[in-house]
Order: sequence, then C-alpha cells, then structure tokens
Amino acid sequence: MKERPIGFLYSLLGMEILLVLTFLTLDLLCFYILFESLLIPMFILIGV
Amino acid sequence: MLGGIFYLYLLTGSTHYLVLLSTTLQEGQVQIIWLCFFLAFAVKMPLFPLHIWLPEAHVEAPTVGSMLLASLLLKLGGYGFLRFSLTLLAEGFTTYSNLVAAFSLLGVIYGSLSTIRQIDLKRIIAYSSVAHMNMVMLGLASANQQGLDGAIYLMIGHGVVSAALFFCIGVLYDRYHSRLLRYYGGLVTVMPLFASLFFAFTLANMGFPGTSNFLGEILLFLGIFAASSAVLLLATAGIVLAAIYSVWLYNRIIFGALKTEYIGEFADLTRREGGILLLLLLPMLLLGVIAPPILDYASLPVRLLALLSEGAASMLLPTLLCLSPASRRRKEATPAAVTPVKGGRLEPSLVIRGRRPALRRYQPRRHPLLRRPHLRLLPPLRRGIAASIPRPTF
Repeated sequence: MKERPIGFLYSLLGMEILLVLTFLTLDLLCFYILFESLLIPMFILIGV
Repeated sequence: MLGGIFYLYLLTGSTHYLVLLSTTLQEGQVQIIWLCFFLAFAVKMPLFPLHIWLPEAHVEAPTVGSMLLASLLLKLGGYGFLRFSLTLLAEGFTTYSNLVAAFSLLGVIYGSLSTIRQIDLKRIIAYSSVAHMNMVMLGLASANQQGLDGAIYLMIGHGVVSAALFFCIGVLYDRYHSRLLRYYGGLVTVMPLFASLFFAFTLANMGFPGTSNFLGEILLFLGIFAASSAVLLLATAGIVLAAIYSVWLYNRIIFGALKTEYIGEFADLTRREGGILLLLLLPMLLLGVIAPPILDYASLPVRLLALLSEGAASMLLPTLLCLSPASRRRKEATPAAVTPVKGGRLEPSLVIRGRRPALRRYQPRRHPLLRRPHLRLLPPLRRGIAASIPRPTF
C-alpha cells in the first residue's frame, strides 16, 4: 500500500464502482457478475 | 448462485428482477434455487459455519481494506438476502427459515465466545463482527417488520462502528507495530483523546443506549421475540457476551499499568486521524438518537416484505411492482385494496404491457424500468413454467 499508492487508489476506486453497481442492478446475471468481480479489487487491496 | 440463476432462467426465460417478481415457480424448484442463492449470501455474510475466512482476511488486510471489508462488503450478503432470498424466493425462505435461525443463533453465541478467546486485536473485532452479522441474520430470519427494520438498522450501525474500531486498531498498529493484546496497556496516559473516542465506539459495539447499534438491536430483539421467545433468550446471551468482550478489550488496552518497555512516548491522535474518527462518530451518535430518516425510508418495502413472508405472496406481487414514489402517496396502492388476480398468478407479459383494464387498478403508474423497449420483446421468450400458465381472460 505504501509502496504503490496509485495502484492502491485504482483498486479502491474500482471496488467502489463495483459496489455501487452491485447495489443498483436489477438483473440477476449482472448482480452475479458484479458480486463475484468485487473479489478481484478486494484481493488486490488485501494481498498486495 | 450461478447455477441457481441459470435454473431460474431456464424456468422463466428471464433474469430481470421485476419480471421474475411476477412469475411463480413450482414448489420443489424454489427451494433448490433458494439454497443456491443462500449459500452465496451466507458465505458473504458470513453465517456461522462459513465464517472462517473473515478473521483471516482481516488479519492480512491493511487498515483501509479491513474497514471497507467490514463496513461495506459484509452488507452485500444481507442486502442480497433481503432482496433475493426474502422477496423473490419467499416460498423457499418459509421452508428453511428455521434452519437459518438455528445457524445464526449458533453463530451469535459461538462468535461471541470465540471473540473472548482471541489475543489479536484485529481478530477480536473480526469475530465480534461475525457475531453481529449473525445477529442481523437472526433478525432477517424472523421476517417481521421489527426484525427486518432492526436488521437493516444494525447493518448500517455496524458498518459505521466496526469501520471505526478497525481504524482505531490501525492507529495503534501505526504507532507500536503490534496487534497482540499483551503488548498493550495503560494507553490512557499516553493517548487520552484516542482513549475517549475508542470508548465511544466500544460502547456502540456492545449496543449501549444512544448509539446506532442499540436502536438496531432493540428492534431486532422485538422482532425475534415476536417470532420465538426461546430464540430471544439465547440471542440475548450474545449481548451479554458482547458486553464482556468489549469491556475486556477496552480494559486491557487502555487501562492498567503502562507497559513502558513497549510503549514509550506520548503519541495521541494526529489531526487527520481524529478527523476521521469524528466523521465516524457523528453518524453513529445521530443514528442512535434520530431513527426516522432510515426507518421511514425502509418502512413500506419492509412492511410488504413482512406480509410477503406470512404467505400473502400472490396478493402482494402487484403492489410490489408499483413501488414508485408516485404510487406510494396513493391510497389505493395499500395491500388492503388489492384483490388477487385470477388463480393467484400474474403473467409477465400482462404486467409489462398493463393495457388491460382489469390490471390498471393495481398499476396506477407503470414502473419506469418496465417502459424500456427491449423488455417488450419478452413474450416470445417465454418458456417453461411461465409459458404453461394459462392466460387469464377478463
């Protein structure tokens, strides 16, 4: 996090976008895709 | 969950939420789909036997990651449960509600007990949020108005409070580079401001009156009491245990003799950290005193949901479809004015077009989403159960 602030902020932004979309979507398939793709930026936030 | 969605699509020919609301499924199929969905939400929530990932993730994550994980990502499970498992697949929920209640009750007690046993600060907060989220699930499983209101309220309150607690742990970790409880003690002498703010959030975590979690929990317990008083008795054990681990954690970190070999200099909150904690303190206190903003906003959908789980599903579906601000103000949109459609079912194509005079009664105004042109293409796609439902004649 301290070494690469740019990547950190990008994944933070991506996660927020995906979260808002997940809460807003009305289509089940979209919901599933967003629900699962939230894990990617979360993985980066936690692991890297 | 993907399997459940595909199965649903095969049966109804659509994955759109509003279209699915107006279709009915057969008895055994709803249960299968409900279980598929529930498994995904239970992992996210996290429900009791599937909660192991949460403390591990919190221990590895930086402070920001923990705050976001606890305050936003866990609520996704609760949201999904409210939106899909309770609404769309209500019949499946009525089958399995006892199972959900049993698991979340176990989760409340087990989560609280294992919180007391932890020595890593982040694990303590993580296990306490497992206990709180299981309590939310208990309220959702009670499925009456107070229970659902309380669950929503506790989710919001817990979002604020657990984020603040994780931030407090992050502040300590920045100073002293350790998360183990035994290296801390007597911090009140070197960090007085931190001690008072941390105290406020600790009180909120155990559900002290005047904080957001208290309102959520009291509503939740009213709802659980209406469902079953034996469950309430066991769930209140969770409150007692929450008080135990919160006070114990606060005592060990803040009071006692200052451990001078690990903690030397005076290092209170910087202006930035204090600002962040104040930003989290304000909504917590406001939500603990003023409930109406959230409860009013949630009241109509929650009331409908509570009726829905009482088995009045087919009567209420038309009302659920007209949940727009305009129809909210009208008297005729209340459930009492709705009469069931012939056979208790509504056909998707009829709902979308809404041109027949008999249906206009239920739809004073079509939902803006239903006006989309691509949804008009739906009738040729009808398949499976939806196609086999006879078209009602008026």
